[in-house]
Amino acid sequence: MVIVIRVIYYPGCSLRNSYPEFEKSALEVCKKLDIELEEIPEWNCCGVNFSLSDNIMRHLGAVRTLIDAQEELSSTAGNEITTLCSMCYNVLKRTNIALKTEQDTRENVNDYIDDAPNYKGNLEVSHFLQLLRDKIGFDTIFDKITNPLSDLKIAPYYGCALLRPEDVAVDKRESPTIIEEFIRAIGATSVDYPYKMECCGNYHAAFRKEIVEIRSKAIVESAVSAGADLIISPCPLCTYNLGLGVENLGKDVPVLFFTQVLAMALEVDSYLSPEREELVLKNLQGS
Amino acid sequence: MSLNELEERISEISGVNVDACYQCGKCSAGCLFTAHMDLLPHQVLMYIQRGDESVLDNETPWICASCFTCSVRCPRGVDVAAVMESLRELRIRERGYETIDLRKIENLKDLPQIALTAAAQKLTW
Ligand code: SF4
Ligand code: SF4
Repeated sequence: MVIVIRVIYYPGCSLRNSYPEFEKSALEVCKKLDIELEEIPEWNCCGVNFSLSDNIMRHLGAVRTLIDAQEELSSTAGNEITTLCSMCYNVLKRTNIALKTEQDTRENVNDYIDDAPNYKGNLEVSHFLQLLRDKIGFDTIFDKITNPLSDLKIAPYYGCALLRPEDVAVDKRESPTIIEEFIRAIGATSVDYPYKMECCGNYHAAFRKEIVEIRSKAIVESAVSAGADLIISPCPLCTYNLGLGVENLGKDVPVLFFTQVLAMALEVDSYLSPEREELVLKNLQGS
Repeated sequence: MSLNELEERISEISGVNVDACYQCGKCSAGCLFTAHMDLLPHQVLMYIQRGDESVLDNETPWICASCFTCSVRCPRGVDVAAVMESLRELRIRERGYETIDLRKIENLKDLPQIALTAAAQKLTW
């Protein structure tokens, strides 16, 4: 009997507006892995950066999303909400922790949002990579892939949001291996390089593009000199920023979402752009 | 020892006790953006410890990308990223919002929405 894992799912804005291939490839992958992602009926932008000040009002979007998830889940036994974008993960997770641990904050927010049910603080926020590791298992994924990407050398890029601060880290924050394990599960080789956890420059992409270019170029260069054919990322903003680095370096290194390479290994649509596809195939054939 | 006025305000906003910093410089050693800063992160902390409000005019808090490398590595548990945010916040509370001019974004067409939302949050709030 096939056991289907049903999880409530928060897509976030950038997957819909900027990088649909991230979500589409993930949904294809889910069909193969018997995961049912059930989108929250109503959701807001997560806010992108968790505010570090005393102003919880900045997180009302995230709070409303958590309330909507809670209501959707109240009819089932589950309590997990998952995201693909690591920024969304970070903000929802931190907001959730604040609401769970600070009674004052929870009461204030519940009083303020008087047109929705109170948030009870019973949800767990996860990133899709964690779901793959903990609910499906990388060994199971390895057994299910039909097209091991054995000739590809892939550089894992973690960025910040999956690892920092400590209480949201999906793995050991100074020596994570979750993406490397993922890469092994799709039959590829992971490339070790020193900058995999370094910041790409975040929102400076908007007004201080040169800062991002310098940072991202260093990251991409480090991955390439370690032998990477391509880089995988869990975040739309990192992907964009690393793309600026690739441009600056003047090298053809594809930066893909982790779900896209998983889709390739499972032989479902990976939603690669034609140019990307050509590049990846070229690398796969070892030219 | 009691906190000075600037430390008090920062502690109110961020919950961070800046006095805990013993100036080891580890935050600055790991920060990837120091090349663009006009004060190193540990120097920012020192200015605050001295109650020197001129730090509000420095660029550093606006260069900080909230990557939390400093915060997770500080041996004294000082959330430096939160201190940077409270400095931005203080300046905005004192001097009002700055508007962002979308016309200044050269890569607006292909910039993911997430970058714009984050920049609007960090730089104008
Ligand atoms: S790492 Fe911590 S203790 Fe050391 S200088 Fe920075 S804030 Fe101060
Ligand atoms: S959070 Fe800011 S100050 Fe700290 S290491 Fe990152 S960019 Fe530097």
